Amino acid sequence: MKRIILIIVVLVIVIIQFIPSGRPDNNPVPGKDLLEVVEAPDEITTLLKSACYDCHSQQVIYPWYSYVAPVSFLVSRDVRVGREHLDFGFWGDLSKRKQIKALDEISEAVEAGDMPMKIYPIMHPDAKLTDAQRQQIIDWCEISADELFE
Amino acid sequence: MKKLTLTIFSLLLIAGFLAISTGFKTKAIQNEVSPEGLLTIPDSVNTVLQNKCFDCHNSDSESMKAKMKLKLDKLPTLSKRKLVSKLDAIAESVEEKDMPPEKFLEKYPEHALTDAESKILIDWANGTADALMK
Repeated sequence: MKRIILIIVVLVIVIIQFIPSGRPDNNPVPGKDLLEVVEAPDEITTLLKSACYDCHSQQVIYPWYSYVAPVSFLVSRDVRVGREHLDFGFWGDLSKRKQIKALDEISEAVEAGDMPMKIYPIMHPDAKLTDAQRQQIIDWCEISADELFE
Repeated sequence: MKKLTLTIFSLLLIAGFLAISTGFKTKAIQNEVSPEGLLTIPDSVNTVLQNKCFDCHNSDSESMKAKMKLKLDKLPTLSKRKLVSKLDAIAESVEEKDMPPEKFLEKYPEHALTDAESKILIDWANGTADALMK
């Protein structure tokens, strides 16, 4: 009985590898990325890249396990949904008003602890933000949004 | 004579209750006066906000998420910039039909926005946000 279950589980895992995960490609456009458009201190650049860019950009780094189903389904969905909400890769295409809104929403999501998603730092320890790092991002968002608004 | 006073008093009391129960909520958003007069909410907009959005998006809401995203009664107290952000978000979420949430509408279909109501909200939010940006 145990063997049958094991065989079924292995079979299922093998079979789902053939289901395409629809992994979104990276299509960076030079000059459009947030960090090319907005000036950010190195610390902020590092924080954004390690805590946000793996879903909210066109520079997603896919780890090996993101090619293995069923994790691949989850990663693909997170990147797709993440980019839908906010894609730093096309920051330059946003109107000033949308950029201000995005900065305010980043600040809110980071402050509330909604972002990065709780599941993300498990495999990406650099994305586990300290309170000080959260504050750094919030402050930077505030300053950048104010600059845009003036 | 005493009876008359009593009747008038009771009538006033009933009228008071009625005014509170019907009028109090209607005025909740407009009550807070924006310090610099940044925000004007026309009655047509206020009616839609009040009937379709306010139940979740207010300071005392039971929905933490809704409250965190938008507290309509606090709109007039926001800074100019934050106001732009919130107005932009209102216009966008109505335009993309993210709001009211689909799941919520399954339970409370009467909260669905008609096309006319959506337009009222979108035009107001976009117009006010653009004016604030100038």
